[in-house]
Amino acid sequence: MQTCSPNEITDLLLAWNSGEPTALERLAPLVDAELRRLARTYMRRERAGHTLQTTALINEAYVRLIDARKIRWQNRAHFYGLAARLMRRILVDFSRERNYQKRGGGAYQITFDERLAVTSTDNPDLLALDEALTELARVDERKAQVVEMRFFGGLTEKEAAIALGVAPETARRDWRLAKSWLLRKLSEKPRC
Amino acid sequence: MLSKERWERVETIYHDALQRAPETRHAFLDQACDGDGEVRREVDSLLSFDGQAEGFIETPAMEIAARALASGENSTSPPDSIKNIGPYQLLSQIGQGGSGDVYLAVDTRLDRKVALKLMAADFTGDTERISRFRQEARTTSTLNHPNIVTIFEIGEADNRHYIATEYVEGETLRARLASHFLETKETLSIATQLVDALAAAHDAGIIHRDIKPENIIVRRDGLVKVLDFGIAKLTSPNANAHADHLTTRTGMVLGTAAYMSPEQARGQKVDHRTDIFSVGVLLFEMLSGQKPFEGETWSDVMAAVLVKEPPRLDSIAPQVSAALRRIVERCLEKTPEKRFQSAADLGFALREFANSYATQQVKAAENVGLQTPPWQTSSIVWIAAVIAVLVLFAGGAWLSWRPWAKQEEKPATQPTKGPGSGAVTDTSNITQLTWLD
Repeated sequence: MQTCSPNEITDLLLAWNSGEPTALERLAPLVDAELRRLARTYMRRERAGHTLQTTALINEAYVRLIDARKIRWQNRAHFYGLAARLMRRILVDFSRERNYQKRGGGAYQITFDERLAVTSTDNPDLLALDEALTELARVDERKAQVVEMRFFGGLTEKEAAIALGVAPETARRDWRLAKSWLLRKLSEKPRC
Repeated sequence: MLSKERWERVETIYHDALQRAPETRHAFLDQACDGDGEVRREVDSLLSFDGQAEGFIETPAMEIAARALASGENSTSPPDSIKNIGPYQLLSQIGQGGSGDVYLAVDTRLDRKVALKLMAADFTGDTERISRFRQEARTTSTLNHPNIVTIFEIGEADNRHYIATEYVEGETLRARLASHFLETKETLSIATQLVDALAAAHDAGIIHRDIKPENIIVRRDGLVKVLDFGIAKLTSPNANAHADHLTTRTGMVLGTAAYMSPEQARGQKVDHRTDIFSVGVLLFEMLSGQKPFEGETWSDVMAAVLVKEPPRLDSIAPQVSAALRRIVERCLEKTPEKRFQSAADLGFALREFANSYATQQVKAAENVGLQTPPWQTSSIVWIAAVIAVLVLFAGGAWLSWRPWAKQEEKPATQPTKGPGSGAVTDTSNITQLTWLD
């Protein structure tokens, strides 16, 4: 198992931002490893019948990935946005890969229509959501950023507000409207 | 796509509408959108999703991905083994229930979509759960009614127990209540269909015992389907004895507190009239947007159900006529003997009211323009008058409020005085227009 200190990850993230081409390739396996660690924790606890303290687990995962101390003197807000964008990219790639594996050759092909029709509100399809979010950015970029930071980046409402330099109330309103907008988008029947 | 300016307007109106009580939203939107059909449609459409969006994307993506991974790598239920269950091909998970997960699946023999309730693999050794799971299926499958979800098959494949039911595309009444205010007409339509389903079930000796908005699906065309007879109990004399011991252990309190009858909350023996009480709770909520018995905690709600009288319906929902209020009150009587004695009776009362309500509406429409004293005709004219007043004042408010509309960054700063505010003195009907204080 590959290990890597939060320090290195932070460095890689900053390198990715400055256009270093190999940074993402080196980052993705780290996020993936963290995801697997998290998944194993879920399985262990679920088998044992424990109630999950999911928030704590997720926070732990992000802390392990990102060393906030390292960037104290950097542009912290900018860094949060960056981390969220990175997480979005990796998690969406991860979902795409998994869907592909699951369907395999000759298996029942889930049509686009069905995929959207059954997206449940608690367990949204990350791929469809990613597409919808890209569209939202065209309508209202800041709302898309709020969603990216909170949903993909795991930031709280307050953190997202600080990162974007807006009032917490504004971030809250953005979030609420964006959620309705995205849910509507995911509920739409594709035109064909 | 909307222009930036109109999108900002949509945003402002959307948030302002959310601040208002559901029953005043319609009038508010009429004046706020000021004839701009495109803005109005966009706001309406977004608002209709607001209620359903509550839990949406609140779980971080990282957790969703990790859970997907966990379910895939969990050796007790690898994805390939649950991709096919007997003749069913699972497409996607659509829900979670107490006894198992629900999937959208395709019955490959008939090429039709079904909802497949699959008992969790971890519980295959749990005989009580299995009996309960199967009992649910048996109970529901004895019923054949357009307003009750049809059971296609009960089975077991690869050591997994399953129930295949008709797949209903629609939204739960919970989502509908959250997204918009129900008109009296829609409320009556939902309630009569629900009561019809219950009458059929009661005739077959089956009590639902868990009537709540989550268990009612409203299809796009308005057809109501009652779900989840999961904790239903057979009451006919020749009913299976095993069903009885599973669901009526002394003191075992099932169901959701706010919709429970007092006798159910006490864990006492219940009969079909417990469902009638729950329908009363639902009617109350559909008509007023508020539950009749509320409390901070589960036990507070239970206490309210047991001892408190619900608030007078017309005090919080003035549009509700005396006749309809009496129907709801009769459902909500603490002692079963004082309620409607059968779902059929309740259905009759609702239909009778619905007919007179429809006639009144027609009359009210005819009366518009005629010189009839509004106070004597019907509550409909009253409502129309109130709305007219609302629109007038709201129109004034809109003019005075508009200059602030773009200050979206400071939503807390509500203009407290506007040129029209002096006119609003003692008109209690428009207290919802809070920005005119």
